[in-house]
Amino acid sequence: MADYEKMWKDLGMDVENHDTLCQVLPNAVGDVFMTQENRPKAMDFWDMVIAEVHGIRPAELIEEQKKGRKVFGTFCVYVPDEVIIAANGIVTGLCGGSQFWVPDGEKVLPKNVCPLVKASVGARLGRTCPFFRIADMYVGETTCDGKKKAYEILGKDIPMHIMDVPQMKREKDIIKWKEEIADFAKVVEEFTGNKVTPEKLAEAIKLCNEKRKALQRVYDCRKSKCLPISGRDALLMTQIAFFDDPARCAQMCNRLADELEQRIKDGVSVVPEGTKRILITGTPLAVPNWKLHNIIETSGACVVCEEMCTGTRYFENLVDESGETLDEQFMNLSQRYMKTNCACFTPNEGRIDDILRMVDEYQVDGVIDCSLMFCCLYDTEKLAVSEALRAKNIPVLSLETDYTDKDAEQLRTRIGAFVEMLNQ
Amino acid sequence: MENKNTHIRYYVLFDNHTQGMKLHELLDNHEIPNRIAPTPRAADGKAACGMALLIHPDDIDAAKACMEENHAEYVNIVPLENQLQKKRDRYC
Repeated sequence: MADYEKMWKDLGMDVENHDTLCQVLPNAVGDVFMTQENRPKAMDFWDMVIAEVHGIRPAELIEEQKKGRKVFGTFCVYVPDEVIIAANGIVTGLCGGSQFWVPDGEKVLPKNVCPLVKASVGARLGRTCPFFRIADMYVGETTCDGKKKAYEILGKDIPMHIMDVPQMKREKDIIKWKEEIADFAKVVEEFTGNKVTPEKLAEAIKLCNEKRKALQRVYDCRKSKCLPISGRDALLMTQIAFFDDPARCAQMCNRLADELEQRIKDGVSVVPEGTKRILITGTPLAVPNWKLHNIIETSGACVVCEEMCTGTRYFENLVDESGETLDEQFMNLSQRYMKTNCACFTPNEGRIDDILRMVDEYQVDGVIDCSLMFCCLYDTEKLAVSEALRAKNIPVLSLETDYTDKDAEQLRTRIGAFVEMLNQ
Repeated sequence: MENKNTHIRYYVLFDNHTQGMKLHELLDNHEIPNRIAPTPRAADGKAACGMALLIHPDDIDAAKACMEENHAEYVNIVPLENQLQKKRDRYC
C-alpha cells in the first residue's frame, strides 16, 4: 500500500514509521481473510478497501476537503453523524485498533489505560495514520475516564469538541443529551460555515437510517442456521462502515445482503452443520483488530453476532423521521442514541436484555464476553452479564485481552476448551 | 483434503487499484477464480500498489492466457509461498 507516499508526506505523516505498519498488514489480512473458503462475492468491495485502507478513502477525503468540506473524526457511537452530515461535513470513525499505535500513546498516557485509547492517541501524536491527520476537528465524549483525559491531550494538537454524555437514562438525561446535540449543531455550523436546517437534517437522518437498515439486513442473515457469512467478514464490513461514505456503505451492504439471502435460499453455508454459534459482547473491536474473531473461527466455532459498538449497537434502532423542526429532530436523535446500552451508563440492564434477546434471535450456543485490558466499566459488568446468562443456562466465557499477539496461545486454549464444552 | 495454504500462490501486481479492479472484473467475467488481496511486502520489496490479485496455482495458466488475450495491464506476477496461515496469530 504505497503509491500514496506523496499524499502521506503532504499530510505530515512519519512515512518511514508508517511503513512498518504497511509491512505487516498484508500478512494479517491474508491470514484472517484469504484463508477462508467460499466467501460471499460481495466481500470484494471490503477486500479492496482494506487492501488500500490508508490510500483510497483518505484520498477521497482530501478531494472533498479541496471542495471546502470539513472532516470530523469521532470516537463513539453516541456522536450523531446526522448533525455533521446535515452541515455537509464528513464523518470518519477514528478509534485505533492496532498495537502499532500503542507505544506512541504510552509516551503521554499511563500504561494502565485501555489499548483503544492509547492507540487512538498514538495514531495522532505519532503521525502514523492518514485519517488522524486528515480530520479537521475531533469530536470526543465523556464516556469513560480514559477517554476524557486522553481528549485533553489530543485537544492540544487539533481542534476538539467534547460532548457531555449523560451518566444515566432518566427523562431529564434524554433532554440533556438533546441539548448537547443542539449545542454540537451550533459548533458544526460555525466550523463548516453551513447552516443545519430542518430539511438538511431530515435528509441526513434518512441517509443514516438507510445505512442502519442495510447493516441490519446483513446481520439478519446471520440469524439463519445456514450461515452465509463468517463473523470475520461481518466484522470487517462493520469496521469499514465507520469511515466509509454512508450512501456507498448502504449500497454495498444491501448488495451483500442480497447475496446472503440468496445463499440461505440455496442452502450455502460457510460452516458445516452443527458448528457452534458464538455471540461476542463487550468492548469495541476497531479496525484492524481481528484477533478474537480469528481465534474463535479457527477453533471450530463461528461468530454470528457482535453485541458491541462495532456490532449491533452501531445500527440497531432507527431515528424517528417525523420531526419537522430542529427541536423535534434533536429530540428524535437523542431518543434513538440514548437507546445504545453502553457500560458507561448506570444502570445498564438494557445491555443484559439485549444480550439475552440476541442469544435467541441469532440461535446462539455460547457467549464470549471480552473486554480490553484496563476497561473498568466492561470488566466490572462481566459479573452481571455472566449471572444473567447462567440463570438461563447459556454458557459464557469471560475474557480480557489487549492488542498484542502475546496472549493468542492462551486465548486459543481457553476458547478451544469452551468450544469443546459446547460440543459435548 | 490437501492444505492449499502451505503451497505457492500467485500475486498479480499493479500500478494502481483501477488497473487491478479492471483485471479482477475481466477474470470474473471469464469465471477464472481470483481474489483481491493486499500486496505482501515479500512480493515486491518496495512500494507498489497496495492491491494485488491472488490466484491459485490451479488457475494461473488460465489467468495468464486470459490476460494475454485481452491485453490486460499489470506490473508483474509473483509466486510466493506460505503467505496464508490461519493460525499464525500475528496480527497488527
